[in-house]
Amino acid sequence: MYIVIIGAGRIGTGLAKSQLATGQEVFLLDRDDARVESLRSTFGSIAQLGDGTNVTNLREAGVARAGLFIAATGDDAVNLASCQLAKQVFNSPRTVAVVVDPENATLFETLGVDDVVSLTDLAMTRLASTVPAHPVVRLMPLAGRHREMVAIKIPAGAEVVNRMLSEIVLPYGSSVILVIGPTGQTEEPRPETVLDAEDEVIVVTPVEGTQALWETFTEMP
Amino acid sequence: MKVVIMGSGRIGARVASSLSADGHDVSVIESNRTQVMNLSRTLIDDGLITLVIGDGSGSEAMLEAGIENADVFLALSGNDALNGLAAQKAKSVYRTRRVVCRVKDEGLRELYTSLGITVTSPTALVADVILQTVPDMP
Repeated sequence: MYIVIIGAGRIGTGLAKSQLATGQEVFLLDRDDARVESLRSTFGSIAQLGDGTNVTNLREAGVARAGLFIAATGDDAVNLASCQLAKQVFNSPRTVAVVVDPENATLFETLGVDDVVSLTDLAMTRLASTVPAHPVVRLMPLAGRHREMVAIKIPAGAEVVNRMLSEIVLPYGSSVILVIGPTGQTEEPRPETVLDAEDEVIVVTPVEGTQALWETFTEMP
Repeated sequence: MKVVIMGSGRIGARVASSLSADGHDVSVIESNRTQVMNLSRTLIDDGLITLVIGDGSGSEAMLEAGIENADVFLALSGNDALNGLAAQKAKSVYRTRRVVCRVKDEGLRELYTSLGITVTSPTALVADVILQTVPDMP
């Protein structure tokens, strides 16, 4: 597949390298001369000096024949404008924007970007999961952000400890998809699965159910 | 009318004081403290223009400037992509009735127009005015 990437910073360059290694055809645009030169000296003519918000530069980069368009500069506004141009002018089948400000994630999707990757959300998720007694970790948004996958650690003494899954009333639309024991062993949830303290449950839930879900699994009797 | 302006460069500042002189309720969002110098200190001190220092396309600054009750949002910074983002946000998130976006780049001008935003290009306007001053050519 031909992939056009806007922004040859750490993300753009790293992505380009990994895609080249799997045999994809990649082309990068960046406003910075030094970055472009450094890529060209290693990989040949896979990068060019240019602006992702300029139609002429996008045309020269061959966006019209790209199967995937990724805007990964550090500027949210530039990433949105690039994806919108790729979509409107070149009919890109798939556009992806990186955002730094998490509040831009849903906005960009409503404005027509096919997929939005929020750096801050990703970092927060990873960091939250490193806190030993993390209450609830949002693992990833699903179904256009209407649902999400979350991980909840069951504290010792919680009401659900020693209960079977079939006895626990979950918020509407939520389902447990995996139970992870304290030593890392995983168990496919069945109605008769009994929960222990320190188990971690992975649940898919409508986003508005997350709070109630957390209460269900952590409430003390 | 309630008008929120993003950007207090020479154009934004001038539009702000004109609208304020006409009796409109004007708020200006500016991220760069040095750009604030373009705005009339007296108008701000007298409460005729509300100044909000913050990220022009961020919800926090837009809400503080009163975007929810605004009749008009003008994105007048010197950054095309930022103006485009703020204008689309005003339109789709806050449902601002009238949104105008300043854009230099021709391709972006077409894009934003196709998205239903009123676009104004100072470059094109100045060129038109200059052409009008040239005497009719045979």
